[in-house]
Amino acid sequence: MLDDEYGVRSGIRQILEIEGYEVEEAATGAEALALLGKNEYDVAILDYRLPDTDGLSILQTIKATGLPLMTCIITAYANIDTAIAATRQGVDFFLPKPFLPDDLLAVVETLINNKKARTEAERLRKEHEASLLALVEEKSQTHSLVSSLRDAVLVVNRDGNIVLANRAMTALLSTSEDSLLHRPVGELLAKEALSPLAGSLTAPLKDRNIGQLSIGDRSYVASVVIFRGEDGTALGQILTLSDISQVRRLAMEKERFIRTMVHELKSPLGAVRALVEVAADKSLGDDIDAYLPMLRRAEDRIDGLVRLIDDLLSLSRSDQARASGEPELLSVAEAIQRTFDMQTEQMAARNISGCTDIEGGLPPVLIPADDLDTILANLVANAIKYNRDGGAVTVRARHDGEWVCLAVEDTGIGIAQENLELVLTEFFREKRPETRNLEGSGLGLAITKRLTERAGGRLEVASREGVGSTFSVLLPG
Amino acid sequence: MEAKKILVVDDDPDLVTSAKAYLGTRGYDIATAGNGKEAYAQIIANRPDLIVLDVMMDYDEEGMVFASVLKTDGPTRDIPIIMLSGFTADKDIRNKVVASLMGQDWPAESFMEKPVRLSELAQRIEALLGREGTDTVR
Repeated sequence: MLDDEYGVRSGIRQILEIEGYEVEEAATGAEALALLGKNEYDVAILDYRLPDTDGLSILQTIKATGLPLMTCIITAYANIDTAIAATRQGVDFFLPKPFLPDDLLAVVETLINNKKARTEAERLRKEHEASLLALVEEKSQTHSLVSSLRDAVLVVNRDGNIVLANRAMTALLSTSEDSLLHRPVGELLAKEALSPLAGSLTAPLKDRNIGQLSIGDRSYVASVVIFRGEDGTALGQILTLSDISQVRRLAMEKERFIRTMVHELKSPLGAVRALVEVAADKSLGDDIDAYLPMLRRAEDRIDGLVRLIDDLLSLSRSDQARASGEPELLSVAEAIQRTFDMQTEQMAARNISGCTDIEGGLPPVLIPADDLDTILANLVANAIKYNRDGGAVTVRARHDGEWVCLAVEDTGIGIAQENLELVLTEFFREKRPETRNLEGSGLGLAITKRLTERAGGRLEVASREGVGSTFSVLLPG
Repeated sequence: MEAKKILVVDDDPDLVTSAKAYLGTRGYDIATAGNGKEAYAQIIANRPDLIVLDVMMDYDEEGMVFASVLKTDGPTRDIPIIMLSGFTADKDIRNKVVASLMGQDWPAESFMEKPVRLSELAQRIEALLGREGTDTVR
């Protein structure tokens, strides 16, 4: 309450305090501004004419500082000009003096109600703004989510126009999003590769439709989903293409692997059954000695079967990311010696000599001990198996840049050039007259390759038919 | 009467040896081969009355291709063939090979899935040859 007349101030105070309002008084503009800077008020009642300034200036200050209070100008010099001026300044009420207590109370009550309404409106406006912001943010989040999806996504509105195409989709169609947006989807589907989808996207809306198609050399599963508003009306369709080439290739590889594995398991079983059947049938007469060679063969085949199963387990383990043990820093020379010691008997049986050629100052290699032993055992066993009687197996170890290279060299039958890559794949065995009577699961090299790669190394093969083969394991030194 | 001649073609030496012993004691004259090439030499030298033929030898479908050749060749066309295969998915291979030799029927009189029982093989042979052979040896 700002008025320079004490009588007016105390009169107004009495009227308002009876009704339960709290009133503070100021006699000058300066006092009023000091109070406004200190406390919060709901309503300011300002006299128009003041000793140091006038009500309009105070009003101007209030409006300029954005204080959230309602204002009322009271004046005994009411005229239309001051009223207009006050209204221009944004005054909320203009009350000419003299006024009745009830007039003043009505004005204050109205102003306070208006203030409540204004505050509420302000709150709602802020809330609305916040939710709009959230909406915009969510939209852009959804957009970046959709565009980073690996699946190709295309969104079509109810009118059949494209409204969104993510990166995977534009890459798939070798085009840009701009050249797709707002275009009829029919144009796009006219492209040959997508024509299988034309039916499902242009036909009357069905709820879901899945099909497969190929684009280039890749295979995709396509699905079309209708998206609906909250009331259930269809707003458009989402087309998704998921690349399944890799999955399909793996499935085919697995299928081939299993077929071969079944064959490899059935062959020895069939042989054992036949050998046993001959004995049970007494096909060779009553003398048991006649069957001994066949029964020994049956034993050998069963042993082979057990080895095959062990190899299958090793192969499966070598596929797992976790190694068979903790990698250790291992001496190559010791591992080579261990391997030779294990296979002395096999070498002696065929009069094959074993030699080592190990470069001095080789660093240790980092690999689980079991893996290094398996790698060397497999390679040396092969070097013996495919060797000639009286031949040699040489294991060389040397530096090769950052690698430690372990080369297992034999003087055997060698491998045909066209099979050099194939010998490292599962179950592959070269079928040649020289290999007919040699047994093996065909998994040893596949296991060796995987164990080497798991240790961060690689397996290389070089060979000359009739001269010999060299398998080199390169391990990080 | 002369014993019926059977040619057993399989790359598994143990199976060949067993079949030779088992069938030999049933009065058949058994010849053996480990692949198509050896088998063809045997057929030329001494025409068999029946061939037991493995599908997967030097290469995956060797037996199938070999049988097809025999079935299109005049002098060998009438030799009955019992085909043995270790695959469960033989049908795929069969269809593939048959399709590649258009218009030709499945090139064997009989088919058995490995591992075979020699007793069943003997029955199959007996059925195909009408068993006029000798039953004397045992």
